[in-house]
Amino acid sequence: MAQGGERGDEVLAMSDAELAGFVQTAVERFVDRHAGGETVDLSAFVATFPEPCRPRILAQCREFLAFDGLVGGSRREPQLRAPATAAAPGHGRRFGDFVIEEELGRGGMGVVYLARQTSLQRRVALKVMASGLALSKRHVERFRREAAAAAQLRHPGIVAVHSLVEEGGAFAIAMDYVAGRNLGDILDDLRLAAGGDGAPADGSLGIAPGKGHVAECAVLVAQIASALAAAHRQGVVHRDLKPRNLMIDELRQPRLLDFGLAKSLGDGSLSMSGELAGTVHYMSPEQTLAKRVDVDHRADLFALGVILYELLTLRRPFDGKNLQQVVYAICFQEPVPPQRHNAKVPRDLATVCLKALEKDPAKRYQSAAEFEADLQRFLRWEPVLAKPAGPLSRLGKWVRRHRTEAIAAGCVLTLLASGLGYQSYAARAEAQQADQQLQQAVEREQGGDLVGALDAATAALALRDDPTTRARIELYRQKLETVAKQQEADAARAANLQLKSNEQLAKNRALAIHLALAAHDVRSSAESRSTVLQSLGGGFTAMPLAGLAGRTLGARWAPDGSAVLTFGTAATSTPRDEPGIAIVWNPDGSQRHTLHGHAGWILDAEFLPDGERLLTAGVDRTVRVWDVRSGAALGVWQHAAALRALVLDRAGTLALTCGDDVAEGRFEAQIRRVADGGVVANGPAHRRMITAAALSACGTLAATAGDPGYVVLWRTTDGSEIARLPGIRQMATAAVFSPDGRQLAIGDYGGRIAVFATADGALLAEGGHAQSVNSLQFAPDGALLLSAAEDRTARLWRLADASEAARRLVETQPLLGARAAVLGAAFDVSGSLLVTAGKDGALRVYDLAGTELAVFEVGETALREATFDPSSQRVLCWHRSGALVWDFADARGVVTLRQPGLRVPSVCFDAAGERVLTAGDDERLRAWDARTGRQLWATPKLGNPLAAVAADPLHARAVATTVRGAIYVVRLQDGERLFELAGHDDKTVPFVRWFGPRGQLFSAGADGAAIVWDPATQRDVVRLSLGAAVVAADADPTGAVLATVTAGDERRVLLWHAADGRARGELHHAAALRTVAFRPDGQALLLGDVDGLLRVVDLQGRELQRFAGKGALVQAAWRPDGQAVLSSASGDGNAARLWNLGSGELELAFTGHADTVGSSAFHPDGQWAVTASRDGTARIWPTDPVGVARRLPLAPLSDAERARFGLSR
Amino acid sequence: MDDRLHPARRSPRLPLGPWRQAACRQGPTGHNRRNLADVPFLDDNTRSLVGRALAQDRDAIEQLFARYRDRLRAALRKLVGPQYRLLLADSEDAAHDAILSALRRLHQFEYRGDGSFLAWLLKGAEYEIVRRIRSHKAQKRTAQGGLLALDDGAADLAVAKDATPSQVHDESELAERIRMALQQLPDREREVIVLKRYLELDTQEICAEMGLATEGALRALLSRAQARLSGLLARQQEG
Repeated sequence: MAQGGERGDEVLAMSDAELAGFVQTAVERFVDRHAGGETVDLSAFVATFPEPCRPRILAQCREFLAFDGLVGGSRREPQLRAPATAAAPGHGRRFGDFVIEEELGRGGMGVVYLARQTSLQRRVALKVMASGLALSKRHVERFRREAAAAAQLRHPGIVAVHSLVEEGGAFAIAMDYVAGRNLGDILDDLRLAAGGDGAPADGSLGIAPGKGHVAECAVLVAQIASALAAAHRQGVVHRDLKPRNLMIDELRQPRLLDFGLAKSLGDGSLSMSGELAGTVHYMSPEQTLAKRVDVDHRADLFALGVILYELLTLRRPFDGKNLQQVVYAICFQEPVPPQRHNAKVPRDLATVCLKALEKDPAKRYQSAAEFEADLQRFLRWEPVLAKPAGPLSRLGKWVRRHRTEAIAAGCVLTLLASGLGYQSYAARAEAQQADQQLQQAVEREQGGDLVGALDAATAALALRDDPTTRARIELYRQKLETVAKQQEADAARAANLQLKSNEQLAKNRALAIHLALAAHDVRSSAESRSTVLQSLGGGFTAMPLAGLAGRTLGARWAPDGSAVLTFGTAATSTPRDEPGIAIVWNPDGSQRHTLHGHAGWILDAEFLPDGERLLTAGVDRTVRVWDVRSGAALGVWQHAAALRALVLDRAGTLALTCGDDVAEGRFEAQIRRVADGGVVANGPAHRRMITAAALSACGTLAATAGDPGYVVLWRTTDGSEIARLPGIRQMATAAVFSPDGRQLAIGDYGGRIAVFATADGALLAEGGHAQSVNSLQFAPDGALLLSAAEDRTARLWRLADASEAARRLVETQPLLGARAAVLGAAFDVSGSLLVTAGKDGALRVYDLAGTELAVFEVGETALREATFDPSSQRVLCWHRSGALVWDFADARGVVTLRQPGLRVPSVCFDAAGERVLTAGDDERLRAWDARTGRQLWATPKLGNPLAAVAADPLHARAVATTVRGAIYVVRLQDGERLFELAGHDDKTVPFVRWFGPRGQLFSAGADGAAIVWDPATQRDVVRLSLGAAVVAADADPTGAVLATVTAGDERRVLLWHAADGRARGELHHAAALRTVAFRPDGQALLLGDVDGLLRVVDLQGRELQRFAGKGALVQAAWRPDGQAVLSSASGDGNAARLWNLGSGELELAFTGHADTVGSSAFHPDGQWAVTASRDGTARIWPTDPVGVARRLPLAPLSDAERARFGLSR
Repeated sequence: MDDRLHPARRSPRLPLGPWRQAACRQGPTGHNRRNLADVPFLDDNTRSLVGRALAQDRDAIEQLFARYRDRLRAALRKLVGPQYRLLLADSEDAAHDAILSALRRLHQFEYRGDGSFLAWLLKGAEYEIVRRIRSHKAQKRTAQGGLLALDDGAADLAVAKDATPSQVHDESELAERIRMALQQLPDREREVIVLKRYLELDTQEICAEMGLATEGALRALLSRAQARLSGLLARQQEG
């Protein structure tokens, strides 16, 4: 090739990089041509390039072909060979297992044949896809998938798909052969018969003879809706519903064709084919307008609405001369009410039809089942649920009605005067109305109602088509778009912040709350509220005390809890001779005094019992005495050693100090008089650093431990040794006397705990942890010993009693849950609560049974020395850079109650809102403090797992039922059993409640009995035998009515008079009900069904409100004010959802549970809710998390943090 | 031959044709860090799903899984090649497991919305599955001493009855080489190949996913990426 030679020189002159670029371009060209479907002759292609780069191009192209072969053909327009459907489809031609008998019809997608399946000898309809469809591999796969989905559908109203046949790259679908006609043809006939206008003749559809055309249409469409509902339930959406896809078979039943198939082929290469124009009439606005919006099953409902309209009126609701006009009508024009075309259409049916034709999917029927149910209601002459359109669209309709009147008036005029007269009159009338509409539009716009303004302007346009009106419409549309964009941006930003908040949950709780609140400020929604609730999380906040610039080395409560002392050093460098500082804090977190004076770090400090003075011990070899109130230095004790520990006796008269002077090898323990700092005694000499020291409460005994294995017990009066304690071979890490001073517990680095008698130093018992003991504390009564250790546990021990192996420490309870070493553990003053602090940055509060009552997590920082204040309501602990006070009693987030057992079937608040009662499947009823989550009492085992619990609003008692039919009434104070009610059979009684002014009790169970009890006589007053298990029941709080739903009859609520058990009526629902609950005023009922639908109906069955949730309802509860309900459903991500009846929307979702919520209740003030779940917990959480979060005393975000998350001040 | 399209006719010093330049103008935006909220493929629903999945919401993970499983599975089989069959002995559907664990580990991988979510997810699943293949091999090594090399081939062959031994070996090797080469590509080019050739998204979806304005831009990017990939593959062969 001559050219090749010329350019060869050029190429030779290229640098390597340039050559690479050249080769790249060449290969790109090859790739592009190959992808374009061309079969490129590689050698010829390569030959067109200059010689020097040919090998590289060749190699790369080969590699590409290898790659291409491996991942599968990439060609944009593969030339698939397929049986030519364009050619005459000969009778008897075979297609796989099928022999074609005759052509049934043709469509954009292919040809449908009647065929015989040879293997089974049955007749099928065979739809052969047109070969020109150029099915790409991806299309084919999707087509297969959709066919597979369609094949899953089995419903008498759906034409079953049997198989997908592939032959020679062509595809065919074999389906049931339905003899009959398609609805499109039938409609064409009807239109012909009606002669263009007027109503179709009765009985022309032959579906419901003798019922009239309108009823026939409703029956037909209801049947189609039922088939659609079946498909939608299986997640298959038709997406191309139209009369031609509907066969009316020989039995006059509608059968749906082509499920999902049209759509699977309907995008990409097919979308521009002629099919579109033919079918656009049935497309929903979301299908025609927005490409990226998820088109869901509600598009099918819109199409069905169009079909209903067309059946009723023989006209399409949205029509036009061309595609654009039709699409415009679908998207922007209100359909003319069907009665206008066919006066026989009743208003209710028209309303149903127009509801299906709503532009906004959310305003349509939300399911085919709802659509069907409403049609059935119409057919039964019951009121339909669909409401005539809202005020805005009504106005539009008013305008149109007005226009007709004008025209009618005009007609009269025509009789009197000339045609011109009528026209000008009509035109003038319309112009006037158009002006009114425009005026209205302006007013609405000024009022901020842009949608309304657009509506009015559109109405004006319908009356008078002029540039001004058009411009106005354009203006509103643009404004709306801007608003929508802003909202979208806000939503995105809020979502982003919410995500960030979630990320921070485990890291920085305060930041997570700030971010969740910021997201809520950007855009308030159910989601934002739920995020705030989530950010409150384990639910508590702590007040940080961070006044020391350097290291914090300890923190102490004042004896009465009225102040906190923190101490350490102000310097950030490590030398211990930097000045030490202590700070006295007020309870509100403000600093009272800063105590300067120590020349070295303060390593220990104590308040005196009177709370008026405090002592600090520093490495500067001094103990300093301070006045708590004034902060004044009262005195200084000089020591010979740098002090590391200071221990006081209970009365605060003696102090034990430990210190060292490493340079001189001096390690001393000294007893001093607190009053004047005078030395009382020097302890026994140690040769190594003293690592643990204790002083008995009465101040007579001291113990110090230094070298490994060297623990000395001595008298404080003269420092004389009582005993050297045996058995401690490793370094002692903790030492503590029992409150009575008779025992001494020592913990060591190896995890061993030994308890000695102080009388003679004899070993009483030993036990221990797997790793180093970090702290030891006796319970106030001395019966229990609490240890915290490096092995991630804290443990409770007692001495073995006579019956047990001697000299063992018996573990009563491990305190689990910590994710890292536990650094400190303490009892509260009563000895009934425990708190641990650990390296995992968490504070955990337990009861003596080891139940984790509350957790507060700081995050990465190791927390030390947690202690309760005297009120047992706050916990103080410290970490490297500060201390914190955790107001444990003020639960401001989610309180978790852990009931042993697998699940908590039922939960309630007591009438005062002070306690939460849980019925567990561990057979116990438990009461918990509603504020703190502390368990108050638990009944003994009641013999069977519990099913339900309810608190008596009038008396201080509660009722619990079991799964074996027993009903127990217990005292609220202590769970003491008062009496038992026997009346149910040996089956579960899941429904129980107190009701009515006389405090009667209602119970209903799986034995089919619903009983009203008089607790005074303990007898049943009313007994209903319902014949089947009760699946939902409630009693009217005002005492008048009972409601039951029984198995096998789950779409019906039976209402009864509570006084005498007479039937009072019944309510119907479209789907199986799972829960009923009376509104607190007794005037309405909440019904929840298996489809997640919640309806509020009055006792006459009129619907007041509805909410569409997810999953199958499990239970629902009313807020005491009757303005909100809390529901939970299975299959809803374990959420409990709070629906606001005022706004008609979801208020928030609580997602803290790990399994389905089976029971819920509101606090009497409505500010708190409790949910009980199958995850074995009940959780108390605020229903206004935003309000709670805003009231938290959180430190404001730093500027750096604000900048990081893009927040303004 | 069509002379108008002849690449050599253009000056080799200006390898960028006009449409290439257009593609380049498109390009850089995708490299900028984008917020999760800005990723076009993520409609509200998916975005919230991803958010919830990040927070370890089982439900969301399952939904995402159901949504993308089939695509990812097909892509994984291609990506891993015949080696994938090795895993069949372990698990009925290794791809299934890999995708699920990738989803479960969403939060560890810290998806921040750079580029395609799907491509990113595939990468996680690929990592998972390769890890499994390795541990599978390692297990066999410990179980059967030093017979690894021999045994591996045998396992491949045992399950791939429909292919000749050399085919299996070649394909296996090629798939491995392609995976290596893909890792060396610039993010965006790797992404476009993965989306188009492995996940088989259609043109519009890819444009949305990658923030490309026109199909032309996509075509150009895809050609460039595949050409570069074949260049890397060719270089592997040389080296």
